[in-house]
Amino acid sequence: MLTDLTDEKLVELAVLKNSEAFGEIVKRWERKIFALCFGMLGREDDARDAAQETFIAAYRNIANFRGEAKVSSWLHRIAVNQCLTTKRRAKTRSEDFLGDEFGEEDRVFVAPAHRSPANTTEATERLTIVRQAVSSLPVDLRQVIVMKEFEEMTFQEISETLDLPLSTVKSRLYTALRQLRLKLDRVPLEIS
Amino acid sequence: MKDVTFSNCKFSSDMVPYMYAELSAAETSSFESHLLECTACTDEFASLSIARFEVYDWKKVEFDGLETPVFSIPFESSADAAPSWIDKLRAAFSAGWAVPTVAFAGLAVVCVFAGILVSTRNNADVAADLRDTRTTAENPAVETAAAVVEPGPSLNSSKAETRAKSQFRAINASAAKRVQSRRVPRSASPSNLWELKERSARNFQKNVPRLNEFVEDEDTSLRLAELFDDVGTRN
Repeated sequence: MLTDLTDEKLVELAVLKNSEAFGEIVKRWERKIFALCFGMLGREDDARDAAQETFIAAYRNIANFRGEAKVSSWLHRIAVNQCLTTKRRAKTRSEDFLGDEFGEEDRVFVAPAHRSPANTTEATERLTIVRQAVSSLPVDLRQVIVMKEFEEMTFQEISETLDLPLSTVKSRLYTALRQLRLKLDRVPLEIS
Repeated sequence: MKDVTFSNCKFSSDMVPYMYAELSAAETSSFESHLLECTACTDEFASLSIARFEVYDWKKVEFDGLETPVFSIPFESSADAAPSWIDKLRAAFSAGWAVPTVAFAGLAVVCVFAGILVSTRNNADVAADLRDTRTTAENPAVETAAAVVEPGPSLNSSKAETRAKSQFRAINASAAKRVQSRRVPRSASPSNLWELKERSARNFQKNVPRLNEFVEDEDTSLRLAELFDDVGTRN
């Protein structure tokens, strides 16, 4: 079963033109790469396009993966490059649509748009897990992450509201995100 | 590639502000260049991005679609909130003691000045009247003008004319003194007016005329006209 193989083993199979192996890699890292792109670009549409281009670029360059770093780090670096490229494109206002340049086989790695009942159930469960994880944070950390994500306040505004130094606000948000990540890692988040 | 962990990387403090686009353009460019070189920071950034995106997705699904509730405030109706006279008085004073205090003080000052002005005029009138009384007592020419004896047949016209002129001069002099006495000096201070009032009161007591001692002919203007008429006819 491909789901039991490690990422490095899957890459080895993908190098041998095993599309199902690469598909499993995409399934495992799709949401996380999408989240990374969202963290860099701040917009869902741009993040979705950047994530797609990341996996396309990874498939095209899979033969260059030497195994010196983790597969996740390799994918992260590709994603960062793609996001920076997207940013440069947005600045110069020139769209470079890659979808037409690739064949049918590349479309396998595109995130599925359909929503099955199973996916909906998984999404609901994930939301419940996230809600519980945020609620379980200490008050001072929860306060900062809610003000940042829900009220969309700047760091300066949060600093003035809570009467805290700017560096303390940034540090608390970093700590909150790290603790959330650890809590979410304890419960595997299935790809929708 | 640098073998650097996230904790000792100098760009670690820029990670969260970069994630929320709160770095300057120069800092952003510098951090992005660093991401391409530093695996530790790239992995850490990815880890934080996952957590951040989960919170973002949760907010989008469970909060963004919620309608903003309409809050109803139970304000009092105008009929129920009709203020009584006590409430109005309280409201007037609740605005601050300064306003009514200042108004009362202003009114008091106005009353004091009005009282001073009235008393000053009264003192001037009293002083003028007393001066007139003293002038008529000191100047027998005025009294004799009232008691002009009808010239006898032995008095000729020139003597009558001379006498009439002297009486006229005396009358004018007393009238001038009366006008001067009625002018209240500007430099008169309340204390001077008070002394004047005291003095005039004392003089008035000394010179209080009895009813039967009043000179009958106070109206000298009529006497003057009669004198001139008399002079004209004599010629």
